[in-house]
Amino acid sequence: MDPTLVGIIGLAVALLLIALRTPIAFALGAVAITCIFIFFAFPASGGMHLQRAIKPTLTLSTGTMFELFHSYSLSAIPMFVALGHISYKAGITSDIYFAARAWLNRVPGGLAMASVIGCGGFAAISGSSLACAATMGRVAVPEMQKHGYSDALATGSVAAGGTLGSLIPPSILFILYGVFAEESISSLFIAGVIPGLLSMAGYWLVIAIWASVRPQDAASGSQTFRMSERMMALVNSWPALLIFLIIIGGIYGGIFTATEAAGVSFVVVTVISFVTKRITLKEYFEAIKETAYQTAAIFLIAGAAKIFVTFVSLTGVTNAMLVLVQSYDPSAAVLLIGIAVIYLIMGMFLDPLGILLLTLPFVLPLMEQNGYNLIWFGVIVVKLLEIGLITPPVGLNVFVINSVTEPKVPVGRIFAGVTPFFAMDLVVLGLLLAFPALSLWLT
Amino acid sequence: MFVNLLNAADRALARLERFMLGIAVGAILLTAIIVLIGIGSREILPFRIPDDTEIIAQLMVVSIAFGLGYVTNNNAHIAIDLFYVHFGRRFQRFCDSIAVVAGLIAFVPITYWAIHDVEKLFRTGRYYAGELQFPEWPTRAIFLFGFAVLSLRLIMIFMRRVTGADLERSTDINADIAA
Amino acid sequence: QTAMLYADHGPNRGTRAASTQWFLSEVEARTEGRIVVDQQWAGALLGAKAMLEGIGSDVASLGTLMGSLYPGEFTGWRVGDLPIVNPNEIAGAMAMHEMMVNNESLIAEFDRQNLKYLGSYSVGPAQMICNSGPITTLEDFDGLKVRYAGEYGNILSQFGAIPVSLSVSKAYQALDTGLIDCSQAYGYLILAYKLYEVTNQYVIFDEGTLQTNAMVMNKDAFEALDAADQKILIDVGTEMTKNNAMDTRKANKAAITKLQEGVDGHSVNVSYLSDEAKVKLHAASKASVDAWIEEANANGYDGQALLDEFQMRLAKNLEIYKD
Ligand code: NA
Ligand code: NA
Repeated sequence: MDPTLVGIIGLAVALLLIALRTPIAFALGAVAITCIFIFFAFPASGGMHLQRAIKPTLTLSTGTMFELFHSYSLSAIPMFVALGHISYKAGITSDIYFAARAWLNRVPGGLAMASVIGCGGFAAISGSSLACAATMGRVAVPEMQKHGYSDALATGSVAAGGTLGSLIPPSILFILYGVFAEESISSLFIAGVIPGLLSMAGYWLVIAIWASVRPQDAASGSQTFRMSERMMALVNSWPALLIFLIIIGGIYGGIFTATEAAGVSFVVVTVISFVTKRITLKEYFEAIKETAYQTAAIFLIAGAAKIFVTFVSLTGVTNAMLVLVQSYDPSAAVLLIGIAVIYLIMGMFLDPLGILLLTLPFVLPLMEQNGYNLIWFGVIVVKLLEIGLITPPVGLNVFVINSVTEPKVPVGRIFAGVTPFFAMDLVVLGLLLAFPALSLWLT
Repeated sequence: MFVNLLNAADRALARLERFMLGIAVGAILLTAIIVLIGIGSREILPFRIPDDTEIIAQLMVVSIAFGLGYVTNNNAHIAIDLFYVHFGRRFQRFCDSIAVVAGLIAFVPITYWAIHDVEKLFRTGRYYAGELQFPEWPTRAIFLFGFAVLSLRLIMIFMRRVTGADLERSTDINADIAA
Repeated sequence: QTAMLYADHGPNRGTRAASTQWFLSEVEARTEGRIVVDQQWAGALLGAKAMLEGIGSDVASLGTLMGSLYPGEFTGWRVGDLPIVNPNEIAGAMAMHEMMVNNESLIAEFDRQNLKYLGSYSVGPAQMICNSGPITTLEDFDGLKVRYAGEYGNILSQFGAIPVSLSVSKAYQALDTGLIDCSQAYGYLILAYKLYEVTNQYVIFDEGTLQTNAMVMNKDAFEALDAADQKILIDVGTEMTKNNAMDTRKANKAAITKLQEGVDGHSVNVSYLSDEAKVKLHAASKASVDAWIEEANANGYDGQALLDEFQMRLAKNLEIYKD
């Protein structure tokens, strides 16, 4: 069978299953395993090898799932999830949101804007968008809801804020891209700064417009605060500020890695919560228990998505799409837009790392032939990968937020909340494409 | 009669899932402690834990795999219900069945092959590179156990649906889980 | 016509990838299209750790295997990874290759994994890139935090270095923030990972290396080919081994010059480990070598004989490939 055809049918079936409310992990896993089997059982060269296909299919699927679980660097995710849960249960987050409200209560959508900064800052430090969604989803969303924000705005702003993580250095995606493209990593880091800030400014604009068009979605407080009350609110939020400072100081001071920062902040929040008697032992274990089963849910999706990447890789769909774009003999600009569209399509289904690994071997030589600056293109790629985290049907940031909010905000409503931010992302992407200087000016 | 048996098995499985989740909780706490010791031994501590990153990787397998059954039983897998909520009750039940079948297609083969992996790793004595030369089979056995419980849970959901047991006692089961 | 998949854990750029692509296109050309290969890079199909199982079960018929990831499976092959003097990429690669195609116990080792060895990749001697003053003695490592691979972490810790286990992709950031002071690295890798942007000292050891990186093939798939095509794969594998070693040697030598002259305004001071320090290093390495011999003996090999053969072949090739 033609592998590309298997690939396209597979994508369509996965889409259908997801629409019918098959859990994402089940849909991706079932389609990927079935299609991998078809690939080996009915090779393009002809013939039927059902018996022979079993071993490679199972080896590939099981090995891929296991290797994803057996990961040191991903251990940051459960610990950041735990950080979110403990902070929430200990009321640490309520204090900081009360302070934010005391200072920002006249700004329409002020809390959402603060959340975007918090999320962007957090993601920037941890270098992981998912870690941000995991922590801030638990922390920021319920606080915004408590202060009268709609589910859509509360979750949408956090999901979008998380995508700042890889544009603002440090960023593992830039490091991997730099190794692939043989470009300077420090230049890539610097190149990401303005696009990262531009994206953040774009999100603020979205929130400001949203809050003024639909004020009921971002109820600004009628309460007024005296200066002394404001200062008091700030002082009371010291635990959160302390945790934040320890993480920043520790990473930039070379005391621990971004991965280790997760473990450190987990321990620090535990100590603070118990010492200040903000949490009971029962609540604490409740928080870790929630962490444990959300970890299972998140990683089952990530593992199934990884198997899905190997399936897409086998089918050669990536290359087929590129060949299709090139077959129209496009101008350099149209080629670039074509590639951006391919990234957006792949971003619908795959995780950023998977897309990077699937596409760069084909895309980089093409970009080089056309004389594009590969630093600038790196910024474009990372922006595109980040957008993929919030696009349906597979938007990992959205899923993580869905899994950590209690009561759960339905995935559909989060995607709806993300839509205006996604639109802004496209505007920012357009600006980055049109004005390479935005990325290259500082380098 | 059969339904009673099924319900009893269901409760036993739910107990096992809760127990495994408890172990996953322990694994997460242990991970944080090992991270902290690792940082300490770079800076001040006079000792270090050999192969600490490998130990954490193995603890990750416990943290994830041992929660799989619990998540499935609690219907806590992430799914998109955007269209689902507008479906009729009958079609919703059809979709639920599709979901279970997809889960079985995805995870029963992985469970089956994990048995093969554990057997092979045990037989060949393969170990991870590092100072302590950890054998690979125990971690793989944990992975297998997690997926076996996930598969059993899916089979259980499927059987209860086929026999109609899920309609009769669904509230009881939820109460049992919440306890 | 036989259509095959080739799987690689790394990017399709750089010296090794160029050698691989030469190998694959040469095989296609010399078999006149009887073999065609679809390439799967960057671990999109099989990651480094999945390669043994993946190629053994024919997920991909061809692939790159790192023996150091499976110490128990490739006890014999690991003779090439021992911390012994192995400073010339070409001599080292040819010594390893000769052993892989001649030594019965190594051939059997690959047979057991259902694999056929075709050729080796070189990395060159392990060196050190640091943020520190000039390093010429082993005592200079006292108190330095060192990212390592293989045996040198333990060996240097005997001189007060603090071994830190990190993946090479994290080395950049760790050096940048001061989390580590040194990272073990091969010359060309320092350029590939841009480590010169965040360091100031390149310390040349010119001692041991990792020799267990190979182009391997599923054994059943290999045996399904006719004799002529099998011979083509073996011949091209041998040529690739030598060409890759020559290219790697060139890249590693060029790295020294480039690092001194500076890349994009980042330059690095180069220092050499003194002869006196090397004598100490050999003494400190002996325990690792002895431990391996013991392990090999316990696993049914004659460890000392394997080591002797490797050193004999190394010495012979060092004579041939003098600069
Ligand atoms: Na970042
Ligand atoms: Na997406």
